[in-house]
Amino acid sequence: MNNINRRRFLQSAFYSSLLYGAGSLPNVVSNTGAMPQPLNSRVLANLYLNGGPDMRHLIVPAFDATPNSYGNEYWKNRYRSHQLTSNQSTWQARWENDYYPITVGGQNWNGGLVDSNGLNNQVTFGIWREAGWLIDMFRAGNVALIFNAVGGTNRAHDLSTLMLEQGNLFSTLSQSTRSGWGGRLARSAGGNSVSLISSPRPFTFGPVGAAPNYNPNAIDNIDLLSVENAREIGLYDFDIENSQLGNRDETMARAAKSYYAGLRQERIARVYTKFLDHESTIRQFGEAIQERLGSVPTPLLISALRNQEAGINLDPNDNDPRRVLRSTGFARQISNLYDLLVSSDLVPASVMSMEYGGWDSHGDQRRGVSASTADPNNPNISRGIENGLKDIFGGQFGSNPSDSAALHSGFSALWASLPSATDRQKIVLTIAGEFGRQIRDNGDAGTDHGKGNLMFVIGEQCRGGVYGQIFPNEEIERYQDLSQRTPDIDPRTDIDTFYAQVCNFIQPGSGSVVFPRTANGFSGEAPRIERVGMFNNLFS
Amino acid sequence: MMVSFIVPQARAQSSLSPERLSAVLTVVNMLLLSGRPEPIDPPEGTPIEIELNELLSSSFNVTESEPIYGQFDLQEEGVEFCFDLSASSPFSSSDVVVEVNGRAAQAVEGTDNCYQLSESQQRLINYISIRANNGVVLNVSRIELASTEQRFRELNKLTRGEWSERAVRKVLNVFAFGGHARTEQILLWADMDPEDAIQEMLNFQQHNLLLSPLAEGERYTDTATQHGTLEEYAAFLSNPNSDIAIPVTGTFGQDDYNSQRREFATDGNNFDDAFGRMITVRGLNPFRQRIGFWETNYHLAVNRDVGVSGPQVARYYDVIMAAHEAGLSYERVMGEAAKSAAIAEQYGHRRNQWIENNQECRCNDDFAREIHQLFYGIFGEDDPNHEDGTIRETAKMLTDMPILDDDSQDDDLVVNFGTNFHHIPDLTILGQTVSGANASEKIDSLMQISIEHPESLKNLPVMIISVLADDNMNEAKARQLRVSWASMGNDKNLLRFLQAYAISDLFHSNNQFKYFTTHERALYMANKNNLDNLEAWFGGGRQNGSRAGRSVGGTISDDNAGDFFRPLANVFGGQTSIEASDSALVFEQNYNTLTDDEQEMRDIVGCDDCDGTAEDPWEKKWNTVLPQREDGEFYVSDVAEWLWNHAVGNFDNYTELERAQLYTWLAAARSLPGNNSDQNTVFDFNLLMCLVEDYQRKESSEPDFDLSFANLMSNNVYNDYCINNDREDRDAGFDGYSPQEREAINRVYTGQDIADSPLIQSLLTEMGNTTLPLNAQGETNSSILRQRARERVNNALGFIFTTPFVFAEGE
Repeated sequence: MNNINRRRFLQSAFYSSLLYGAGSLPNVVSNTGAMPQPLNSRVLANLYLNGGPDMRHLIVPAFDATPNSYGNEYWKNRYRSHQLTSNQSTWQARWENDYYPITVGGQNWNGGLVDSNGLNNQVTFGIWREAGWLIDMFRAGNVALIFNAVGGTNRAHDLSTLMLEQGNLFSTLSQSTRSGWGGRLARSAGGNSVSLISSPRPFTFGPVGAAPNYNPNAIDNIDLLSVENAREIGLYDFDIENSQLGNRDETMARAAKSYYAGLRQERIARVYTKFLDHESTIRQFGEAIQERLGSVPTPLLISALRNQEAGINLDPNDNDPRRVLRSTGFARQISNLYDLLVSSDLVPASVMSMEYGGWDSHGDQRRGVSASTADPNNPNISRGIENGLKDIFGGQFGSNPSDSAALHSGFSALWASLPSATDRQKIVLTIAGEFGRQIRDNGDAGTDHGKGNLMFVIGEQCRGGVYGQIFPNEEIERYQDLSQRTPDIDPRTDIDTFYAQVCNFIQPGSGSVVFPRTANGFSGEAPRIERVGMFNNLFS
Repeated sequence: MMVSFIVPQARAQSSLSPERLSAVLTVVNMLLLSGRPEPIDPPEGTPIEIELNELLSSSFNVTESEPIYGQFDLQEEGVEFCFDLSASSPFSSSDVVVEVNGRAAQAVEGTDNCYQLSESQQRLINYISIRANNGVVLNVSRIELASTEQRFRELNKLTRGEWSERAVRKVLNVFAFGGHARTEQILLWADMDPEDAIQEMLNFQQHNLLLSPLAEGERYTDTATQHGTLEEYAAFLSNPNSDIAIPVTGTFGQDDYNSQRREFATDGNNFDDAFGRMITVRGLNPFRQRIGFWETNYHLAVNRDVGVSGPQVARYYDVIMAAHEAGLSYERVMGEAAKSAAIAEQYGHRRNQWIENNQECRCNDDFAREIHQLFYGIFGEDDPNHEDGTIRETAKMLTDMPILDDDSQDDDLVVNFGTNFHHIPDLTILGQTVSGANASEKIDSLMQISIEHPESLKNLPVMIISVLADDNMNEAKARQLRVSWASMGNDKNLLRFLQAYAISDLFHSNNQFKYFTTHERALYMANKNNLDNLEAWFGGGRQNGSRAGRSVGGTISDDNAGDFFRPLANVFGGQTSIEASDSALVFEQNYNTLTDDEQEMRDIVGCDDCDGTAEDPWEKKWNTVLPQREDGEFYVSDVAEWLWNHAVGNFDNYTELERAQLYTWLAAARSLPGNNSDQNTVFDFNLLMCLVEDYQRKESSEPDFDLSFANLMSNNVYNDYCINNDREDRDAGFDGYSPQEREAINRVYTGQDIADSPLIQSLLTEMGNTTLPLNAQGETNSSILRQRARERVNNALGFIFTTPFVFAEGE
């Protein structure tokens, strides 16, 4: 007695004559040419900052010697996390040397920038100078800085991460099988959800069913594609133009290929179907993208992020080139992002998912000060969270950059390498961590978990500026009131409110579907927003 | 009245050999009855009255003229009636007749013929009759009547009939990286009461020689009695005087990677690989290491990438596992972890100080939060004081805990609990008073509070099982786990909890599944490939061009899964099951390595100088474990089935499709007797069918046309058909393979195609009856023949490793 009936065979008129290539990914099309094609639809690239980044380290208030002023309280309560002494002169020097000052409505403020609801008139803030690309993009009106935002309503990493990635501030840890907001957006937009890292994040998980009436509380990853390395993805295959005897690796490849094609005609237990899908997806996608990328070299600036490229980031000691980024993993993601963007005709991607970790800065938030002062572009110096800030935001943009000598970091290199300005206008970046940090530093030169934080929406179609109060006056009291032992940034704006606008940019009308709390007539608890209507014109 | 059966699983899954059939029989027959029928007359034969929960010590001979029947009264619960069946000579299923309340049921030779009747299916008096046919004399023993609702630590326990070889293998796959137990031991466990078996299978002893026996004829035996802790084991591997198959100096590992024993030390560059080898070596305890891996890389994770040293990690690992081995309650185990140097380094509270003068806590609150959340699952739900109260107070508790710095043997490995910078007064944490003169005492005090905290009782048992064993957790399962956990009162013991779960119907359910992480799969595949300790220690590495064992670290590296003790999500743990299953890279790397680098499986079956005995070269010991018939031969059908069961653990997916592929890998090799190339050119199923079709197409009208498998594999056929640029096709104008050949090579065969084709079935029968010369002796090329046979076995195993069924455990 054999086991022929234990698996149910698919009833199909065509199965007996099938050849290889039955794929499971609906949105991969066959190759249409070897040259890069312009982006034909809008794309969201979401960067998750794992660990809860202290964005009050990236953007700070101007030092102010006046007692009880915000600019005094901040530095008095944060100097240790900046690796400074208690001497005010070091605070002032840090501000003046290391931060690019911008005054809302004044110094370095472009007239086209938005100060939503006039909350910050004449407020001066500084952006860390090594975040040159961010500074330049902000000045160009392409960066929305969203203050007092909240993606996770508690201070636990895993739960807040789940809330942020699912786009649901009411999620609990037992609801990990809900879809991610990126997956929902991709389904709404009709494109793929693409993970640029080896293990897809919950952000990319799709809902069950078709938009707009899908079930967001379950997962179906039919349009999820995981691409850890676009230039190498693919399954080893045999070459029928060679002799089929004697080359046992090809023999094994043929056996496995044949087996999977046969197995796909049968029903197997649910737990194993993922691997059938992987086999067909990688085979189909790999073949198409290899053909494309074979004629599209990696741009020099992107390659230099993780490779030694002649003339770029020379070591002052021996004049040898060095990679630009500290994180080669992030460099790989940028390279992947580029590759997927220039292959958008093959894999229509509505959503791309990226990740950068290392933000849980309880101790020594800033490190390697003297070494990095001497050699700021040395990727091998451990600098605490400043490594990540530089990798992500460093570089330059435009004809009048704040630092024309700055090396292109991650997004800077991407922006400079994209084939056309039209393509850039179709891309929007969202950058956020699961929560923020407390407004006082701790006794270990770091900062502990807090709730509210600064989040970023970046794109050339975005109306750049400041959204929400940059430095809420109420925090001055919290700095001073020692009975408040763990004060943090008060959450005033839920992610639903501005991410829904991002969704609408990618796919008009999708925002209220992906984030149902923003829908007209929603009867439950409405999302918080610092000023009603603040994001109505987030995109021009 | 309709009667239906669940046929014996092992038998339903494949055409089993008689040897196997006699060894493995778990039979659960279900009678589906409606209503409560009237009593029936007693059957003929000798009555054997049995009470609920009674196991008879007597055995009974049964013949055609002397049948027996068991008899029991209606019970208030479902019951299972079981017996073992044997005979002095082989018999078939038609030689035994069993009736359950007058309805025919199935019985087979072997242990655990079991029949379940729910309360509603029972009669007032119930009869199970057993009679022999055809002159056979049966022996019936271990007759037992038991409840189907058996509880063990408040979980539903599998019954005798449900506890089977499959169940044992599932436990080993999920809880011991597959383990190293021999088939005979697995069958013994399957025959035991599950409560007894699980004590032998899963325990925290440093050496479990049932779970991890030495190979037959093992040369390296030290690990059976020594080196059971991670510190000892790493010291053993790195010691130039140890008797192990790792060179003291010279090249070892990958071709371009120069490594020596020294690197396996806790402070060496290959400490990660030392741990991998600790799990794959025989004589230790892979369950202990499975739990140790989870504790130190997931539940109580520390991370070498953030400054925790290898020696600190090893000490941490050993402290935790020693506490488990000593049977400490779980809060005490976690207390030991919380007081470790590794944790103090990981979270940085080794620097935390309480400054009494100005009442200042120079602290971070990292571990102050995670000691609650990660250790116990306490998030502070509905506790308004959690952030400003519990966490801040816990930070004060974790003060004056510097790591020892005194050049002693414990330098950098233990925490020195001081008082000068400790917050000595009582603290209020989780709403209760925590006392102690230093951080150590306060941690001990807190642990007793934490383990009974409502959130801990709710979350901790679910956290444990969710990560270790079930990726399909739901609230109903969680409730049962909580009840079991709480039932242990104030002595909550991880081992007892896991043992109960491992034999429960929660785990052995088609509603449970577990995806394997990269680490789990890499270790599982290594354990399924490696047969002796030389292989474990080589771990896929080379010595002078030879290679042995399967790499663990290479798989982990390929998948970007994070080395041992370098968890991807830092204290939140390593790659998760879901992440691994969703990762295209993980699948891609596995597939490509097993195909493009196929030789990594084939080359590891023999080695001239791996252990320095050129006259007696090491050969992979497949011949000691694969099934051998009475004629001393290894039949392809037996070997294929054994390999699948060995590597997958059940026969759910061993269908015609798998059978065809495995038979071909094992049997289809060119035959050139007396030639060194004999058996060295192998076919896959598609290429074999191309050969068959081309031969048929061109020669079927010829008088000597012979489609037998033996002829196909002879140079009468293989030289002339389905060949690139063969003369006839070239003359017909085809370059390379002809269109017909290409179609055959590319054809997709479904299981139904294979089942429906008399030609393929005939070939499979012939291939199944082919033997593998694993013990070839005397012939001039016998060592080569043995090598080719071992290579084909490893190719077949490698093929199984490409299938979806090594990525997960589930039904």
